[in-house]
Amino acid sequence: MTRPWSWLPWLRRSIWVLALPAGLAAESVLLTEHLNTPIYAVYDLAIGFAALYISLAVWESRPRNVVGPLLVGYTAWFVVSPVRLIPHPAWISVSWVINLLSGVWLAHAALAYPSGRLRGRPERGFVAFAYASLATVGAAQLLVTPARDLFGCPESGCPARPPLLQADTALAGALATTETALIVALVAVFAALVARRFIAASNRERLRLWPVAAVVVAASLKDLVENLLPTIVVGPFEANDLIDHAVELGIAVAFFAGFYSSRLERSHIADLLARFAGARADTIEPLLAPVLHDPQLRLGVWDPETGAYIDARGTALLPAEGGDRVMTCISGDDGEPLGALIHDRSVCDDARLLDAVTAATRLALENDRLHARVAAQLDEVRASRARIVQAGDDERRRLERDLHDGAQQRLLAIGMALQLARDQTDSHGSAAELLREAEAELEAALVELRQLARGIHPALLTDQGLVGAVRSTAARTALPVDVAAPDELQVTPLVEKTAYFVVSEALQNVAKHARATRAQVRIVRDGDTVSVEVGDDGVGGAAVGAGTGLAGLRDRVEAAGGTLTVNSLPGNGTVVRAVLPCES
Amino acid sequence: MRVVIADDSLLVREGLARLLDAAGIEVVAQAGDVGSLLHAALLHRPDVAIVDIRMPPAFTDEGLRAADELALHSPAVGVLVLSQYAEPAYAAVLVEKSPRGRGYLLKERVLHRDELVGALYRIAAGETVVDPAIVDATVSASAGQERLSVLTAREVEVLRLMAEGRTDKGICEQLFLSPKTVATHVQHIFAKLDLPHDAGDNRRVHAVLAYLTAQPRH
Repeated sequence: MTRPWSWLPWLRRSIWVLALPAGLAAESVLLTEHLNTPIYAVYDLAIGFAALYISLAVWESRPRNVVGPLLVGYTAWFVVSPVRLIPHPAWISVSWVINLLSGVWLAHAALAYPSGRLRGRPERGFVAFAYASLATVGAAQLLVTPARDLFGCPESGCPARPPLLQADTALAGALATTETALIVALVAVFAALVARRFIAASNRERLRLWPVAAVVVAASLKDLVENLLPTIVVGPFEANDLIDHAVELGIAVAFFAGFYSSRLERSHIADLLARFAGARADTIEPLLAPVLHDPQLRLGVWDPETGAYIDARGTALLPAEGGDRVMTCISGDDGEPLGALIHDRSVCDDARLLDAVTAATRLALENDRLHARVAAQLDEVRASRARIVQAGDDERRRLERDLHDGAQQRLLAIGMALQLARDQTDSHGSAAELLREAEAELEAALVELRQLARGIHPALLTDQGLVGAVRSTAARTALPVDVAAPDELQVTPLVEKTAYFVVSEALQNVAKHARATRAQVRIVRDGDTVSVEVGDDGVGGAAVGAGTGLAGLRDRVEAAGGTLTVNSLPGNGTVVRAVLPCES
Repeated sequence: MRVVIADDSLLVREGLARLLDAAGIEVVAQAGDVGSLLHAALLHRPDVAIVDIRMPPAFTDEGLRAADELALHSPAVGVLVLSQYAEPAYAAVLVEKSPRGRGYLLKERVLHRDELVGALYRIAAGETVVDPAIVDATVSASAGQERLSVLTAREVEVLRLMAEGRTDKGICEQLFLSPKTVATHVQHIFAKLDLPHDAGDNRRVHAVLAYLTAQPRH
């Protein structure tokens, strides 16, 4: 089974191949019948072939568009039209009608450009009427007009005229007048239709309409004045021939350029895909607008909460009703709405362009939506991590209090009771000695408890803030530590604890592993961040790895929304640096 | 000697009262929070108030703030803060804000009744007392040692006692030195560490503590 229209490519190829011999044949007719110069023949053929092949290219690029075949017909006829001069009765009659109708093909093509469809009753009616009326008038003329008058040839050289019903000079004269009047009227209506389309067109459409409109209007005017213009010979050519050829080539080029610009837009859309990568919804609009030559282009992103498409200004897009604006909705692979474009109506004329635009936009919006989902998940993970850390901190603080308020007080009470018990015993006896030993043990226990509590949560951090606690910890470290810090530092409790944790862990590492002679702690507030740096002059070579204290430190810092870096080249000391946001 | 005890723990309060009672010190009132402490101080005019550093409502450093209040309303009352924090910074705050008769001892000091009672008497006499364990830790920390390297061993000893709140006379007794020798040492220390020299006992303690806890200025 063959697909419908599958013979079209063959037809185009046949025209491609047959055009040359047909053109040469036609030209030879011209040379023999009209004694034209060979240079004119070459020129005629060159222009004709150029126009024809450009038209074929247009057809090739839009195989389903009626503009292609109409244009090819029109330009092909231009190439082979000299055959109408072959003095054969049937031949000359048919070619005469074709010649009469070829102008309508062009008008049809111009009105159907660029979508391939005629718009509205006036256009369809005009085209139908033009074909029908010209064919009727032409046929009638063939029947009643003497060949000499019709073909403009001397009686002797004229072929036996076509099947003439009744040569009627009066009727023939009336028909000739009718034909001229009809052509003038058709040209006027055509020009009006083109003007109407041009006025109704959006800016974007005009951009593509004007070359075609200009050449077809020029061609129409040429048709009108052709008969009035006296024949001027310029070198080997006649002036109206020159105009003829220029208009012919212009027509093919204008259509081609119009279609090509749309093709160019499609290729720009492809380029856009690369720029869309990483683009957010509100950055797509300004990228798309210039490529489509549509500065009023709007992109709305689907908002499931309001059930509307929200544009970059935060307002909901309203479906365009009539006019030049068209709304195209874009949905994802799952059928869920993604966004909507409000664009110029003319984008729809090129289905492939519209496909490219929606595909590119869909890709960008899908990407954006995925990004947003991942970001939301990441935010949630961060928040939950911060909550876990916060809960841990609160727990540590509670534990520290419980140690003081519970165990410590009981131990103190026991210690005081032991002293009172000792009062009751012989101070030199063995019982007193035992009691003294017990008191000493108790005191050691209290000291250990105190140190344990401080390790769990330093009370100074609560009472005197980060700087006070850091200074105190620095003073306890088993090597000289210089502390550079502002006197006042306002940060959230989470950041404060995290920063303190960094300093105390890092200083412990310095004391344990670095073999350093001194260390520095530097706390700097810089805008919205606070950076905490602990450096030493030790052996270096520290690394953040699984299971090390530094990995735990990094987790802790990242939970507070910060970053931790460790610079530790062997032999070059170690610098641990945490940058934390003040507001988290 | 009459004292008021302020501690939110009944266990500690009672134990302390019995312990002091046995040492012949009259406990005229007990308080569980800052408000009743201030009231009792006004009512009983004790020689010293023994105050837990952590009390309701926030359980942080209410004891220090109570000392400030007492300085305002009952300036004659000495204050001994019992603390679980071996932080010289807290001791420095206490000494800085109150003019005289202040003490900062670690809680386990109550296991040494003689030292506790000695401290109470010194505070009642208007002296300043800082727990030797805190001073020791600070002085012996490497950072402190480095900065004290300009001092002789004897001068460090004197400095340590100054930080504990000892007067020149007290230092004489502790080190078996003549007043003149101690005065010379003190003078040298102040000159070497570049401390303000006109300071009285309490301010002297604060100057020394502040020097020990503050960071070097480069």
